Amino acid sequence: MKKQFILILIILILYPMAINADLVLSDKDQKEIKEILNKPVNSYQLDIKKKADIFKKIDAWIGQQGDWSGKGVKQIKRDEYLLRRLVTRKNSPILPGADMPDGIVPKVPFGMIALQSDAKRIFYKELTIPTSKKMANDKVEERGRTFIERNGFCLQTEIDKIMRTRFLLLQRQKIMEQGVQPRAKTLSQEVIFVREIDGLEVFNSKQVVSVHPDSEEILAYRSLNWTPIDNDSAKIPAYFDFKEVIEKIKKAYEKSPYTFEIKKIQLGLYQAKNIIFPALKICVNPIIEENANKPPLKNLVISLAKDLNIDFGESDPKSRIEKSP
Amino acid sequence: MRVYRKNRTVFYFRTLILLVFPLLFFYGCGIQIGHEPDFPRQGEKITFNVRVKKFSKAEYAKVWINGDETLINQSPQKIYFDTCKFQTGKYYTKLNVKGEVKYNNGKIKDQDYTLDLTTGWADREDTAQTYSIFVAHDNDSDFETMLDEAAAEFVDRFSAYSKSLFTWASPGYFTTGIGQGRDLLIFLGHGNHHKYKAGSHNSDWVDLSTVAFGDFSICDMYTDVEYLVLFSCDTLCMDNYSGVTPFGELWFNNHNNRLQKRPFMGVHEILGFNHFWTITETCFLACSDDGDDFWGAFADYLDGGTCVRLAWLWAIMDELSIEVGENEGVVFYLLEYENDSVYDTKNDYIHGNPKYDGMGYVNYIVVN
Repeated sequence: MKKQFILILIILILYPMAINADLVLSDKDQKEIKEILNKPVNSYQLDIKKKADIFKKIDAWIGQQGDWSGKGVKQIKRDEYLLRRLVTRKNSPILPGADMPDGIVPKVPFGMIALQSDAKRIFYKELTIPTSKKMANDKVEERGRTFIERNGFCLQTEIDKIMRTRFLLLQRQKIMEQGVQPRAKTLSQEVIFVREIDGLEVFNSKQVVSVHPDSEEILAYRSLNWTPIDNDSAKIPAYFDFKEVIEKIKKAYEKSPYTFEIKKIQLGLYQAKNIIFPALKICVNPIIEENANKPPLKNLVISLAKDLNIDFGESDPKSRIEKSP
Repeated sequence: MRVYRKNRTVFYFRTLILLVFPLLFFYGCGIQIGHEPDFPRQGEKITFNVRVKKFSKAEYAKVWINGDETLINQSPQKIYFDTCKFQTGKYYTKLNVKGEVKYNNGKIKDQDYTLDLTTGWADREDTAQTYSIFVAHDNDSDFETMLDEAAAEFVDRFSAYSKSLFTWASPGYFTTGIGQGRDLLIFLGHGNHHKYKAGSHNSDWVDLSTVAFGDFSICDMYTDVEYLVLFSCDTLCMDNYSGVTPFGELWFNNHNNRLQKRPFMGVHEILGFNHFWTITETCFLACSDDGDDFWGAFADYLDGGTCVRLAWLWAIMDELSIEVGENEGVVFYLLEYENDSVYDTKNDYIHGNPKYDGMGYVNYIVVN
């Protein structure tokens, strides 16, 4: 009887371990996290007035791109944002320099989108004209940087500035039968400006400029969660301790049937509605057999700071899935 | 003078009779071929209603459908023709219909016309504009919840169409008429090359190269989906590995696959990822995913009237982190629908139609 009880007890202990996944945290990973926790990083209050000034400039600039008060403008207004779309035949090319060629002359009417929300300003022209031309990345960056700086859309200071750039292509290809691979044409080239404060990346802040490689005009501009900070509000917050951080990381993956290993650990910052605070980003890889299906990946960003008054805004309503029919 | 007038009247009357009688005779002769449905599509059974006037005076009456002769034994007579490629082994894209009747007096009357089977329903076959969204069950309850919440974000925000179903995915939905009357179908879950896992078991994998979603999809069973979203890894992979079919190739109805079902049989656009999708979970006071914002942004752009392909690609570029092999959005479409928003109404097309053949395109995001 006693043996049976012990056996059942062992099974009960082992069962959850068997079904729950794990995150493999090597000694090196743990050491890296400990080092990060020993590194004091400032949090900053956001400067709401400066943000309002910049958004005012962006809004004024968007206002010049078309007649947004016309009858053909579609508006979607919700609590947290306003989205407008107008359809026009006339393209006024957005050219940051005077030495630019003519803009795209659309053959058919096209749409323009403007979105305003608490932390975002988005402007897109729905002009996707395929071209065989491609601009060098540094030229795309120069166009984007000139555009942002000339318009004053990004307030850069000694501690808060553009950190680095990343580049994307939006391409179009004709689908051909097997063996025939036509050359892809480019619809737009995107330069993403990544933000740094005190030398650390702000994970959720970015400014993006789309450039058409043929006419070299700007087709889109997005300012996403890039609110100026109040430099005087710098404050080193109290951190969660090592055990708490590890617990948070493990908890994020514990229900997965896969075992993960850490691909990258990065100390950075995260912009909430009122504050920018230190955060830890974990990128993982699943440990799977060579030919096994790779699961979609879930990276993780956790706050290192505790006891901060962080406003994440209104949480979105989560309607639950209905029962199967 | 009166006699003259009388003679003239008789003359006119006789002339009239001589002119009109043959017209009346011929009006009463001929062969008439009608068909149901009025606008048949590839895969449908067509009923031809043949009516021969003055059938008793006909030497013979015949009808040819794509060269196949049918002798008419009575009038009216019905001829049934099955265009279902699975039944006939032939992929009919048009039908040449000809009827001929020869009368005892040697006169021949005929009728011929061509039916185009490559144009399907208009964009919405009913007035309701609806969508359904399906989440795959998964052994990873966290993953399942993440997809559920992401889908919920879309449901909360998207208002251009009315919601039909928001429920768990099932492999059976790919082979039954779940898409009937729904203009937009969204599936979230795991994926593989041209495959989607519609549940937590290995038996739940669905190979999209063997199913179809357009309104020509399966003989006698129509779905009429315009926009199909597959939020799953690798499903729309364009890579040309050995032994793996790049998704774009499923577009073609080659001789080898012409008799098989294809996902593009009338679908306007298919949206997904070239490789993997990755979501970043932020865990502060509570956890949330940037995937939620992605679905919200996608819904907003669609509602705003942005063309569908750009709504997908912009939402990805703005709300997800794109790396090599991760979150590289892809949209397959026919050129006809390139600038269409969810509010546009257009016909559906399949192989054999000039708006389909050679008109397939793909837009995709790449890290440069």
